[in-house]
Amino acid sequence: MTFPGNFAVPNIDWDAALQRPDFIKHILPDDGSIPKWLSDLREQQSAARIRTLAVVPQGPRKAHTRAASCDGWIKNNHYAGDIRERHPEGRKPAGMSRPLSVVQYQRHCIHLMSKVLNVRANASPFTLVLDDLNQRATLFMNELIRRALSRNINVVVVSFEATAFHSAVRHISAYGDQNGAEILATIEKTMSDFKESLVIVDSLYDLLNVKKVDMGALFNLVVIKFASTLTGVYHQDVQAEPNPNNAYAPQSLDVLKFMATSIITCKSFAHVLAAKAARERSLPEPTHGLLQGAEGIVQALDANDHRGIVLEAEFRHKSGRPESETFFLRDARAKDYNNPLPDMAVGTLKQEFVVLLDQVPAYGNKDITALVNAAGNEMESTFSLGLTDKQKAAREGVVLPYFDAQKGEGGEGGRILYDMGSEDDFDEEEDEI
Amino acid sequence: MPPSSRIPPLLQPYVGLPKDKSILLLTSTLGASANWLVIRFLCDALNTTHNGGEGGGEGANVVLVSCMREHEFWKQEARKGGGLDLEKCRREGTFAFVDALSALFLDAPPQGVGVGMGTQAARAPQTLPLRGAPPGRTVLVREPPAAAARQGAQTDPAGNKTASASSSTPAGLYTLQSADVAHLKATVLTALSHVCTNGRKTLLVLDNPDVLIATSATPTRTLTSLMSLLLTLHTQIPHILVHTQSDDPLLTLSSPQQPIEHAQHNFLVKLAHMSRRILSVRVLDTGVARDVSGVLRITENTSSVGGTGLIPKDEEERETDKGGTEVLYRIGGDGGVKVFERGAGES
Repeated sequence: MTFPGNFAVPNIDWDAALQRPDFIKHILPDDGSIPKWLSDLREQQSAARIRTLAVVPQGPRKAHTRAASCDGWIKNNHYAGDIRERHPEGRKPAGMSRPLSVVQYQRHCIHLMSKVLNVRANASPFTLVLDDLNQRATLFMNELIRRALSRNINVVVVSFEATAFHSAVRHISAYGDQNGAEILATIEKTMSDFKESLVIVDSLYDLLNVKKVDMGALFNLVVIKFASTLTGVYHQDVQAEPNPNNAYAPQSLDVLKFMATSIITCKSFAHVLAAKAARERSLPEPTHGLLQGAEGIVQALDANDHRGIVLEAEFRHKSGRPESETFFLRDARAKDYNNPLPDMAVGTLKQEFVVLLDQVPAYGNKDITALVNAAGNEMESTFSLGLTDKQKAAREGVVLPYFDAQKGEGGEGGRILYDMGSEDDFDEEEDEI
Repeated sequence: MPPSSRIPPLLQPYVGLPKDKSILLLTSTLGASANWLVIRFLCDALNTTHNGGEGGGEGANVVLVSCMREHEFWKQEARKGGGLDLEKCRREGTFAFVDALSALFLDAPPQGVGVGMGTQAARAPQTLPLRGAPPGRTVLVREPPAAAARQGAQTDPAGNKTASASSSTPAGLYTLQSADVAHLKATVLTALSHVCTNGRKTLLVLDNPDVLIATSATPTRTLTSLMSLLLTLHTQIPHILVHTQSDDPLLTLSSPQQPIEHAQHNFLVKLAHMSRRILSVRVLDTGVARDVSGVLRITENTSSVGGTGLIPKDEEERETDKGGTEVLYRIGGDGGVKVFERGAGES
């Protein structure tokens, strides 16, 4: 074994090297004593070996595919007060994951929505909320703000539509004369003293089309620079004007849909029920509000259903895989939250109450849709074909002609009753037969 | 007859002002005018004889900005339909009127600075008082005087305009000299200082501000500044009632889009998104009927983003959300209004 001029001492396999007599003869001095450096090195090596042994006592654990002995069949209760560990007994399902059961799927979807609602970091950096006059997004947005406040997240509302706010919410009155750059600067200032923020824009149309803020700049500021969450509302019934400079430039809504990591569309629960009933009857889905076509109608009668809000959500994963599901969020009640701590506005959430739309009893229930169906089943006519009780009683009371003849006792044995008309010619001979 | 009794009982909960700050939206169409409803709002706000047990508000001061009608019209309508003496309210300092029509769109040259009451009275026979649902709203010839006003506005220094507008002869009557939104703001604030003395809430009624958008050379820019003005005023004035048109030709977009349609549509939609209550007046869907003047649809939206309703309440404290309602109304020849449910009209 030869050693080149420069080598790293720790890389040498000393055990093997020291067993070779020629090497030992080479390094030992003539009097046979062990040199100081060698004994130091040996101590160092053995200490390191003991340390590695202490840290990793065994190699990779061997998976038991079969019981090694019969003792393993008798199960001991290893419960020691904390989480009981389950020993692997059989072969684990490897490779392809099985399709989820219904309950697992529901839990998975609700978990996704819950992460967005609770403003978890990295759940959805930019959530786009689409609403219209038939169902405004306020219920959803307030839930978002409430949960953010309960987790002590800084909530900044860039307001184009409202002037009154809760004291715990920071707001920027963007409807005034400020231009886009000033708004961005104000957002930056209000975010700077908190680690985590939730920035809400209550009308993205105004921010992008009127104030001419570049969406990329806003996204960079909130999501990239401050690693916070951005949520914006876009009213779908606001008409975007075509870009006068470049007719081929995409509308701001298209840009938003492209950039968003989650898209949530709000719908009125009553309208979803009506649409479901129409689908079951293979009818075109009804339209509501401004689209209804009747002049002068601005908002549908059952808009902003007080029972709750239907959210059609699309979550986009980092891999690019989208997942879509429809949820139902009811209005929050005081019982859903714990009592707030002294310096907090809202207490923590007790239990998640957003559910899938299919889990809502009123949606799955046949009775509700049957009611809507029954209204559709009635014959369309300008006449009232029903009978009132009074009309029924009057009809019962009508005496039919020859009614008296029917209650004669037994009749008179098949005798033919015939009244002679004036044109009848009485034939005596025929009558005698 | 006290003015409160002129409000039909079915309508009473909807013309009352909500407890907290609010924007209310009132829409009408060509065939169904909503002036009677504006009068009912004025009645409810200006009526000082509220008995405490009724649950109604304690009344409010009113600033009425009208872009479609003169002061004379509102005075007569209020007296006839609501039994309300606007002249007296104005002297008491609970009512102020901003005329955004005469100096901007009417041909008659303003006599001196601001239109005095004398000239208004002399011109009174020209304006036809509106009875019931009119067959057609008279659309005034707008463009030439508006253009003239705008030219005048451009040449005049801004400070001069504001001064001339504020110095109207009788207190509480103001005339808008230019269609500029900044000038409108200054005038409204001046009018506000006239009424804002007795510590009551204030209601600002904007009657057809969409006229300013329609007559503007740049509808989109006017829309933006008008919305901005509305919200800026809302920070000072707790209640704002906006009356605007919701006729189909103004809202449905032709292709290619016209800027005026676009601006009008967005004005209505944005207002509807902001407003707490929407009252829409339209003609009967099934055609003209002798005993029905029109349909009134009322929809409510109680919460706003980050505002009221953020802290959840228990079932008992929660306001019962009634959802939308629709009622029919009939305007009598005497200016009185009957409001009834569908099918409940007298035969």
